[in-house]
Order: sequence, then structure tokens, then C-alpha cells
Amino acid sequence: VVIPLVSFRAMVGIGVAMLGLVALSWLQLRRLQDARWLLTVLVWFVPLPFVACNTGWILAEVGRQPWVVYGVMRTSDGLTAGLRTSQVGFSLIALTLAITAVATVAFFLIAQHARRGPDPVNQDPENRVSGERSRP
Amino acid sequence: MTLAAVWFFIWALLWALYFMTDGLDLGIGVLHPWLARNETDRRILYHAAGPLWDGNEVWLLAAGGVTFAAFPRTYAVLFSAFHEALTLLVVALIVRGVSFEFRGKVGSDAARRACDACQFLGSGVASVLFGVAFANLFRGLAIVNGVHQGTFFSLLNPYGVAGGVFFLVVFMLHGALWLAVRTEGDLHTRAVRTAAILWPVVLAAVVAFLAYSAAATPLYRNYLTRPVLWVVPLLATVALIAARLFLAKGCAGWAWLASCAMIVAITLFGTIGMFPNMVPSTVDPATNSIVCFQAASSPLTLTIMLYVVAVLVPIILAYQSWAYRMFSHKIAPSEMIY
Repeated sequence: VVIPLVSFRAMVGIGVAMLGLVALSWLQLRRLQDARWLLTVLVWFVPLPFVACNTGWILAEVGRQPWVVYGVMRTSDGLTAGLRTSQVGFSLIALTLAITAVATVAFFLIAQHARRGPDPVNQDPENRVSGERSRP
Repeated sequence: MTLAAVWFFIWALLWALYFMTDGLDLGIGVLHPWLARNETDRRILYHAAGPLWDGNEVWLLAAGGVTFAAFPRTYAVLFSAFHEALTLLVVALIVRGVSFEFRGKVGSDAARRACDACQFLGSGVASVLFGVAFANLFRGLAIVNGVHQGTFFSLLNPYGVAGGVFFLVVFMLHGALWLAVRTEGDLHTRAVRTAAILWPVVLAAVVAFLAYSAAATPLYRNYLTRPVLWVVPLLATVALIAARLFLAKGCAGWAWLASCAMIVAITLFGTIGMFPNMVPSTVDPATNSIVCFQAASSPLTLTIMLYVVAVLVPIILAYQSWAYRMFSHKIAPSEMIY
């Protein structure tokens, strides 16, 4: 019960917090570049949607046990006949490695992109929102 | 009965379309070390497959999805029997797909080399695995009560490996022909020459595979009872010869279309030979084989899906032909983004 409870609260909490942040940013839209504290909070909110997604998955997967299809089929009945531990181990390790590698590369590319800053196109002095001033 | 048979052929056709389309970019991926001599060549190779490869994989999802929805029993038995092979396939497809996306964004030469290696290995492994998987379906698996008795290594029997090599060379020829369509100058000359070198290899592979199939599989049983079906392997042979003639005349586009026809005909040759089996068993085939009539979903499911497929497949075919026509011109350096 603990895992679904925590993950549900985390998911909903992050969702509400993000909505609140959106509302706050809307109110501050004209002075967004000057509101340093808000920008700092916004940066720290970048990883949170990923956390919310994953806690949502954990909620769905853990919450419906012992059913694999809720009310229709139990997880133990859904197990592949003749499945060997070595097979599951192999696919688990292989896919974990592949996805970790892709995620790591993607993370570095995103970081690189962020460090490079906005494109020169957006540095139009009339475009205040995404202009140079948004980078203190 | 009829409905399940109709779905068997839709299933076969979707696989044929998948090999016809994705064979192109898998083949190009494998050809990288031979055809790309410098950075410009390499980027052109990426761009020849770039706008098409992910659309091509729509057919893989469609074929897999149809197996799941129309023949759940087949899906269950097959995906469990091919557990390790499918895992490898998924990793190979992830690795090569990602190399398309990351290559233009990474900063260093070393990272680009790594992407090229992923592209080559992922494409090669995927091509061979598809061949191994289908050769083992043609040959039959040691299935007892829906459970595969062998391991991953029992898939790598001589006929399975022959199937892997066969798919690999067919896809390489297919990719080389598409490169001949999309390139000019020196790279075009080399693509045409590669296709010309690969052609006799593919011809030998087709003859060898058809002969080996007679010895190692029950595929010809249906052809002996219904001689009219010989049209299908005949079409594959005619298409292969036509590809060579078009190539000699300098019509790379038509040669590529002939190669498309050959891949479809070869896939249909194998699947027609299997009918009505979907996963033939080598252990007491009469009781253990997975037959399409028993593996099929309820008639209602099949009927609804038939309407869906009748609407969606023509739409996909239309937009894909449009995309292929759109991206069939010679690649100009200015349009390269990868």
C-alpha cells in the first residue's frame, strides 16, 4: 500500500505544482526575465515531469497487483510457459543497458543545447520574452 | 475459416511490405563501410534513408500488431520462442534508430564514428535476425504444447543462418539500388557498381535458398498440391532479372522497384508455403503446430479489424508512396541536416 500511496501523491503533487507554476508564470509574464527566483524554480522543475511520469507508471503497475489484467487475469497466470530466468535476465539487462545509454547521450545533448543558449534568431531586441535578457 | 485465411494473407502481406520498405534502409546501413569514403558520402547515405526509415518501421509495428490482435496464440508462442532473438532485435533497432537522430547533434568526430558503428552493426544484426527468424518459421520450431524446447542457439541451425545471410544480401542489393537513385557523381558510380557486384550474389543466394528450402522445409507441399502458386517464386525470379536489366540500362528507379517486387514475392513464397501453419512444429507437427484457424481471434474481432485495415492500409500506402516520390531526387549538400 505504501508504494502506490507515495507514488500517487508524488504524481498528483508534481502535477498540481506544475499547474501552479504555470499560473504564477502567467501572472509574471511581463516581468518574467526580472523575476530571478521564479526562473530558478522553473529550472529546477525540468526533471519533475519525468519523475511524475515514472511514479504514474509505478502506481499503475504496483497498484493493480495481483492482477495483470485487472479482474480478468492474475499475473501468475499470465507468466509465459517455459520461461527461463536466464532469458528474463538477458532481456532485462540488455534493454536496461540500451535505454540507459540512450538516455545518457540524450541528457548530455540536452545539456549541451541548453548551455549553447537560444538561437541568434530569437535575439531580436523587440522580442522581449526570449531575448538576450532572459539570460542573466 | 475463410476470415482466418484472409487474415493469414494480410499478415503475410504486412511482413512482405515491411521487408520491402525497411530492407532499403537496413541495407544502406550495412553498406556504410563499403560505400562511404568521406564525411560527405556518409552524410549522403544517412540522408538517403533519413526521411524514410521510421515510416518504414510502421509496417513492423503493423505486422507485429496484427499478429497480436488477429492471432494472439501465434503472438504468444512466437514471442516467447524468440525471446532472446527479439531482445537482440529491439536493441539493434534502438541503436541504429538513435544513430540517425544523434549523429548530426554530437560534437566530436569520435562520437560520429560511434554513431556510424551503431548504424552498421544495428542494421546488420537486424537484417540477419529477421532472416534467421523467418527461416526458422519456414523450417519449423521444436514447439510442444506452445513451448519452444530449444534455445536461442538452436535457432542458429544451418538453414536459419542461411536465411540470415540471404536476407542480408537481398537488403544490401535493395539499399544499393536506392542509393543509385538518390546519388550522383562518384558515389552514384560506386553504388551502381556495388549493386552490379551484389546481383549475382543475390541470384546465387535465391537459387541456393529455394533449393535448400526443398531439402530442409515442408514449404513446397502447398505448391505441389496447387501448381498455380508457382507464379509467386516465378515472379521473384523475373523481378530479380528485371532489376539487373534496368540497372544495365541506367534506370536505377525501376531496378529498385523490381527489387521491391522480388522481396514481396519471396516473402509471400515462404508464407504461402507455410499456410495454414503459422508456427510449424518439428515435434509431432499434426498436434503441436500453431495453425492460423485455431490461433485466430473471434470472427467479430477479425471483421472489425478487416474494416480498419481496408481503410488504413491504403492511406499508409498512399502517403508512403508520396514520401518516396518526394525523396527520390538526387541529394543536394544544402538540404542535409543529419
